Amino acid sequence: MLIRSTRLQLLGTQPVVWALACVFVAMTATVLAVTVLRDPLAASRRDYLRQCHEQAYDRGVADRCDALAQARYPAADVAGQKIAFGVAAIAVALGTLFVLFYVIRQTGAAARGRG
Amino acid sequence: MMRSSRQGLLAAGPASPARALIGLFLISLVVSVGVGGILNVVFPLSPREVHLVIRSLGVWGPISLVFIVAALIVFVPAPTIPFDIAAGIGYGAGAGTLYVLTGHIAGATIAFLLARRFGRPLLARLVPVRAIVSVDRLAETLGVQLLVLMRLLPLFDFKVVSYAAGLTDISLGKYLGATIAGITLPVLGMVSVGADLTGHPLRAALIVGTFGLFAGVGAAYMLFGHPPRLDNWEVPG
Repeated sequence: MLIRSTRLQLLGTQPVVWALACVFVAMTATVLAVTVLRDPLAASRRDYLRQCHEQAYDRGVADRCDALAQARYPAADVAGQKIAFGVAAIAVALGTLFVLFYVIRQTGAAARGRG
Repeated sequence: MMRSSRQGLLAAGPASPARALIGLFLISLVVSVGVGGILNVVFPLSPREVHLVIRSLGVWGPISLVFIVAALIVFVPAPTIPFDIAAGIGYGAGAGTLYVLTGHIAGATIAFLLARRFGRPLLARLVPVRAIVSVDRLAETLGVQLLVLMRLLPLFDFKVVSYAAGLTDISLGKYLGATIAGITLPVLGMVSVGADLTGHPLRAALIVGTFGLFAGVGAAYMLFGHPPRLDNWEVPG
């Protein structure tokens, strides 16, 4: 009971700190997703796709670029990257809620102080 | 502390920032994630396709881009992300940001004026005068700060906030100032980052959203770190 009460108190004390913690988690997850966990051939595949799509569009021929790009630059397993982006998305949503909570608390305090 | 926050939330009047923020946040989620998500499934639009279409328009491309972004903000509850990214691919970070930002500001202004012209009279018929005056005082006291914050934070829908601002009596100048201050960095981020993630618009939005949240935390601390003075918050009896 005491632990729960202390936890709630900590949660309510500084929502802006919790929001910053969420920012840190989101940034770390994002950086990991686009560096360590990225698909090593993704950049080459993307450049190839861009050129291929533009050429197909300009020549008015059928667009088979996706299959060609997969054959030339096969995609690696990016499950880790997906998880990292998922963690970042959750952290961003939670962080936004903490910022809202902070603003509500601050303006609520002002409204009570007025009374 | 939690208890006092809850008390503040519950004790607040109908036009309290708590209710306004939570209401706008929930409506934003419904519009951007719900309706926007459904539209994205029904009418999938990739940045690549948008880029090719804009490129084919030649010199009319930038004008069309501004017009389309503005029209999307005013009429369609779908995200402008494919167009932001396409602008980055086609025109680079500098010019692309300028075109997308112009479209956003034009759309935001039209949405604001539409809500002011048609929404506010309707609101006056549906909501008690006392509540409207209370909302106006809230907008006068905290309107600019809240607008800057809502433009920075990733989960607030741009269109919903624009229409909601038009329902208050905040001046157009203050509204535009806060809007420009709040959206310039996110738009620059989306146009720049998006060009490197053409196949993953949602990931681009997530990366920009992370930095938007970072800026939002800083802005929240600077703008609301010292509770604002809320004299004459509610209209007496």
